[in-house]
Amino acid sequence: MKLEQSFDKLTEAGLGVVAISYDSVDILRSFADRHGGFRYSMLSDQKSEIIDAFGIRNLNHTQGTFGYGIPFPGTYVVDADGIVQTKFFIQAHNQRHTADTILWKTFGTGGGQRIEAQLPQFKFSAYASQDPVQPGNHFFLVADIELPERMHLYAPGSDYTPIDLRIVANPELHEGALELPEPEILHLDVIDERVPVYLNKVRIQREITLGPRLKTTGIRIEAVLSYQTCDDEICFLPAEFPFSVDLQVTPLDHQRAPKEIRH
Amino acid sequence: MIQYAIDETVKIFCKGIGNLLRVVLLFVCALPVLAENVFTDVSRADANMTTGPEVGERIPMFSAIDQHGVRRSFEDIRGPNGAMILFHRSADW
Repeated sequence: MKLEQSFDKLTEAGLGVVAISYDSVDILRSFADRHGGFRYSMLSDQKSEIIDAFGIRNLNHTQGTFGYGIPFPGTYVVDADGIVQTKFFIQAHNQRHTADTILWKTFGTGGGQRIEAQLPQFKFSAYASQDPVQPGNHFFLVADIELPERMHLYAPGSDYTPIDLRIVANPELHEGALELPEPEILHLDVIDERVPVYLNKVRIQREITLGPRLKTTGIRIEAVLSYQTCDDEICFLPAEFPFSVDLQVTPLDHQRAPKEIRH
Repeated sequence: MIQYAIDETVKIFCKGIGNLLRVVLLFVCALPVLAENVFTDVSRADANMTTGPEVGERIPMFSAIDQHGVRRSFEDIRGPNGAMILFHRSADW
């Protein structure tokens, strides 16, 4: 994670920043010096005591191997009392969340440039939870929908076409889970039917993983929003809205500490 | 990590050999690529993940020495809205 670059944003959000690892103070100092110093704290948990207190030691690495004592990598956002607000853990070691997406997910702030469209039945905008992205990043494609009064949109679980946000197949992208808010239940008196719907403002997001070996400097996320809306009088036909979001891709840093102080 | 080390060794080896051998060893060189789905495969080294305190739970308090040689605790680090606490494998590898 390019934490230093995100330090100002995190501070603006009222968050302190700390990175914890089993590295020695020498390794941390060397890493910080090679990168021009960091404003956030890097803590040396050389005996993995903090890692154990959190219960996140990776027990696949046995004593005597250089990975002995490492944690499962992950990030927590906690409030000032230390209560966990959001947490981000990924099993694959070459994938991660970045500060921008963590801030977006925790506080709903930030995100990349919005594309906006006035569709026949509602106002639509979409953006990525971060821009730029890095190879292996987990982030979200976010769609905001603003429905006019008396108009509703179908949620999953109804017999109508429910709202969906799909990523057009691309070998450099992996489509993750779709996250939707809790729907409201609409009672249709005439046919005595109860259907899950969305009203007013709806935000849905699709998790995306960027290829860990991506080499390009940019990526186009092509997506399709599918939906069906009805108002008091008319039920519109199911519809699709294809759109795309262009993101910058910045490379990863692979420089290591000097040999003498490596694990 | 072990799988990664093997992959890297195979890659370095494959870069260093001549064209004839390259053909012979094409299959070996292609193995790391064929063997994994970069998005969903979880190596044995990353299996049985535990993720610690859940949303709504309190984290254990902590303090340790930072890159400047100074002891810092959660209380020193937190801002008005709390803190982002990142656990990573190593700054080195």
